[in-house]
Amino acid sequence: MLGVGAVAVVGAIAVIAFAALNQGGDSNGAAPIASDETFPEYAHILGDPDAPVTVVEYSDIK
Amino acid sequence: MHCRNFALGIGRQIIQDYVETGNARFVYRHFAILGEESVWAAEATECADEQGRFWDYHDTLFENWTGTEGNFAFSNLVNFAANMGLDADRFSDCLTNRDYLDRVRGDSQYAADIGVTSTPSVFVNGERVSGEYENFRQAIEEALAAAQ
Repeated sequence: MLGVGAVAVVGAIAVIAFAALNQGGDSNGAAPIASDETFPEYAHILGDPDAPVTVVEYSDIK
Repeated sequence: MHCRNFALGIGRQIIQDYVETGNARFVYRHFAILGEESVWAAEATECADEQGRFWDYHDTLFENWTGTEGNFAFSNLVNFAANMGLDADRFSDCLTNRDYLDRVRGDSQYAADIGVTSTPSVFVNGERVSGEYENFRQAIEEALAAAQ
């Protein structure tokens, strides 16, 4: 019985650790950002400023 | 995926299908992390923006991208601008004076601060999306449905 409990505890710790390591990101480590994010006045924006969807690209031209 | 492939492929498709139809806005931000020529190229797009040609110059750089050292050296950046019909002297002065270095650095630092570590990194209403166009289409359609 104790063995089952220990396995459950270890399993729970593993799940928590996995969740913590992957918090808010994918394999590239990019965390979600607020969808109502505001942008600086100089930002380069195409399209309707009031459009319901915002696509943001972070890019390096090189 | 290289930023070039996104910009000239999936990015253009998103703009055509969703931005030009009024369903989405598309925001470009610098994340210049691949060395000095990255920063120069990003600054150059801002100098082109001074003359109202940011997106054209952005496309020109990607269309002329070779991945080789010197591809985006100062002289090439000015030549690209001149070939597009920009005021080359004004553009050259802008780049020489590094008028937009702080802006490029600020954008790049912001991206790093929110957890971006690779390029291109693309977010649809705050959620990162990668891979093929279908992934972006699905994400945008879901965001549109959620917005209704």
